[in-house]
Amino acid sequence: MLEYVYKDTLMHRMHPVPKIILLASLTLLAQFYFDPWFILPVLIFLIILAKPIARIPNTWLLPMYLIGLMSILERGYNAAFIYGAGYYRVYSPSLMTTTLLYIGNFPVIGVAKITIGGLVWLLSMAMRYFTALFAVSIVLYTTDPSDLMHYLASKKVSKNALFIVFAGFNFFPILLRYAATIMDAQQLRGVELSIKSPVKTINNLARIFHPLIMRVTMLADTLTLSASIRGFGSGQSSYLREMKLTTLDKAIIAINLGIFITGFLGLIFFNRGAL
Amino acid sequence: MTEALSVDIDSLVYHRRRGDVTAAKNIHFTVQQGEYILITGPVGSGKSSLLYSLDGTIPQLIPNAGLEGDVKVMGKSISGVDVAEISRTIGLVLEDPDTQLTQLTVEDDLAFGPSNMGLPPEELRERVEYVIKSTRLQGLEKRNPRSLSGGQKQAVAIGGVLSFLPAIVALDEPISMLDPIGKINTLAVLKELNKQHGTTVIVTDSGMEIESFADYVDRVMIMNQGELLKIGPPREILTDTELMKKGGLRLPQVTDLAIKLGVTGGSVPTTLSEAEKFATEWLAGRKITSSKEPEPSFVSRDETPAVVVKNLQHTYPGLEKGIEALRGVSFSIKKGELVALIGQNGSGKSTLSLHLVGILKPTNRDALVEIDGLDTKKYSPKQLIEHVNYVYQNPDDQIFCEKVQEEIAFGLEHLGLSKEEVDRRTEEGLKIFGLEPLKDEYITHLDRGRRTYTAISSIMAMEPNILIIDEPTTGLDEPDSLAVMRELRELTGAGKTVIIITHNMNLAAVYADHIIVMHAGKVLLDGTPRGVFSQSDVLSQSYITPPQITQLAQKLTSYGVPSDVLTVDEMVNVMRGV
Repeated sequence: MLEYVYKDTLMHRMHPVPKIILLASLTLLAQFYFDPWFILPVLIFLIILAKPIARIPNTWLLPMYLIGLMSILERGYNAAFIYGAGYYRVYSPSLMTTTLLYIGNFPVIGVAKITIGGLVWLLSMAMRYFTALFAVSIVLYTTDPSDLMHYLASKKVSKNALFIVFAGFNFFPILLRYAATIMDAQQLRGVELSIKSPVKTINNLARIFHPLIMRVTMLADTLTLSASIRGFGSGQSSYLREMKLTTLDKAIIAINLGIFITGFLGLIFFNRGAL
Repeated sequence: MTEALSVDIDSLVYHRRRGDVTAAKNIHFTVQQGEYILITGPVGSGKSSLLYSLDGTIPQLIPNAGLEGDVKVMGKSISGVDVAEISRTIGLVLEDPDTQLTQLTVEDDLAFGPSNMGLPPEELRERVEYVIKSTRLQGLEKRNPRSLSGGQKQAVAIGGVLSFLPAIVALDEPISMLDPIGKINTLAVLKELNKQHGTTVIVTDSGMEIESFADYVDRVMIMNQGELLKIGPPREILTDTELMKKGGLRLPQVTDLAIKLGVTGGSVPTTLSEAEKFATEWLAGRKITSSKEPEPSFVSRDETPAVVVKNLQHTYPGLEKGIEALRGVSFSIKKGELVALIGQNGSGKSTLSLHLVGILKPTNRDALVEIDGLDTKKYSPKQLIEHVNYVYQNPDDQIFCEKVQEEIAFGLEHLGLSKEEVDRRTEEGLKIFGLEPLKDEYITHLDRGRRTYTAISSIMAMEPNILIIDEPTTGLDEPDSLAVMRELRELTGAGKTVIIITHNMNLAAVYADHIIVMHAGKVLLDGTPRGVFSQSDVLSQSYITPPQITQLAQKLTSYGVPSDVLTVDEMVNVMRGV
């Protein structure tokens, strides 16, 4: 889960640099927008890249879906407090502040209510999250980290920075594997991994965290050891695959930077993408 | 010859909370360039620590380790030199392959070392292709090495060092997880490097694979309790019964045979080819009149099957069409049997085990996995733990607590037992492998043998009817392995069913009632040890070779020696004509 899987797809074959610039520019732009109509094309484009093009299976995406849903739940709370007319520069404030459900007036936190604008804001937040999550998923699923490291090394990026990339790509997949193994092994020792009871769930998580933390504390040492004994950072490195930017790659970078700048300026000067 | 290594270690110490532990002391030896050396000794003898000091991993990268003395590589002291720099000269392969894998595809991992040396891409590709072929990793190039079987990971870890052709390769227990032919291939590849490139090879082994090494190494070094007992040519060391005993090691089977037949001096064989010559001379003019009775098949006190598996298939997600790990497996196991599940690396043995305990479910609808009469599809692993349980290949995968006693009690506390019962079973669990003196010891401070004991005890204390142990003897020495097997035998005596996954054919031959051979996700052979091991040609499809003594017997069938001899004592009787 959450790691590179080899496939022969357009996204897998793409040079990591234009791929990351393409995904990062679109995601960043989506993070600036509040209008769901502006985020929607970016989200649809990323879903197309992730599903039919990169062929990322749903089982691989499952943790991403869970992260997205949990983030939406957290934002749902905030949406109940988005009801001021001052939030809206494009849409009619009177329409957007229409109350659909009055929740109550609470000490300290004040009035909580559900408005059309609050729901639209929540929708845009959800779409932003999923935009970012799909973009990250595409990068992780289709980018062989060694390609990226080789490219960075060829640009004389420091050994320490390379190690951070190396450790970053290795850390979470290893951690997830540890967690999965620990959960399986604990089930075999009678630990019920039920999520029906919140108390049990917290207890279960605590049980998993202890051995996981023990392993994580050793993981940094292990990664350093494994990299050092294989000569990482001992001199100039070379690459198994040729890593050169083609004209098409450069065009993709230019077009995306153009889209990003245009979109960003449109938002700043013409409120394109604001609510 | 040039001196490749000069080792002068006065002491190598681990600083622990409860005081210093000396791992090695007074180790002084030199290794010439192009030598092939085996360092052997029981678990805890200091082999690994010594190996890790050769490239500076100790003391640079192992926390709390201190070294007094000096190691010279190619005439230069490594003191103060970065490990990454030394790794260009010494390639180190760690015992646990998981700690060595760095990349997300096999080919990238194999290329990682040489790419850090700045080799041109064409040469990188050539080296990776050579290593893939020589370590039998064809077809796995694009797989994530962490998703492979234990043996396949070990092959990747070895390949990752072979690919950058260092002047010296140092490998810690490099063949312990490999299938028998994989062991031979790996040692042969090392020999090829040794001969063709003058590569100096240093390997460690706990003595379990002593037969495999005898054919290849130039010198054998015996260590025990952190001290170097002796270093010399294989014949001098491996035929010295007293020395081997002092080092906690057993003799190679063919050496043991000759000594038991009263042979002494230079005629004692240490390798299979020498043994064939010796046995041929011994048998010349003698008539074999073996009275060996045909082996009775296992007689169960209870004819109810403990395990029934029918048409089990399992496909893991990944790559283009998923990864088929099991492709229609069917077999049954009777109650009270000790079953050895053997087969080549990646043949599906561990996947099959995870099905038997209910962690994995079949990916085909018509599969049946029945444990004690329960269809595992309908039960969670927790509901099955009174019936079946599993000990992982790596004990660290299932250790959750700090101390030994806590670990053994951990599972019991989740069974709904009274405190008295938990305490009683914990006490019993500690007694199984004599862990009582270590009950308050931090598990991370224990050697692999004691951690394996703790892992096995913690599951045995839960008293499942069927116990599955994945590679119970990996990383253990002979005495520890025999202790494990004796305990498992006792369990079957008490009516429990035991399934071991193993690459140790000697133990399978001696202890198993029933052997199931897996090959490419299917059952290749299913029968008694004699029945299975007498079919060498079929076994070779799954990269299995019978025990050395059985192989010798099979070379001597023209003299009337039965092809299904399983132990040295049996062979002694056959050769004496008893």
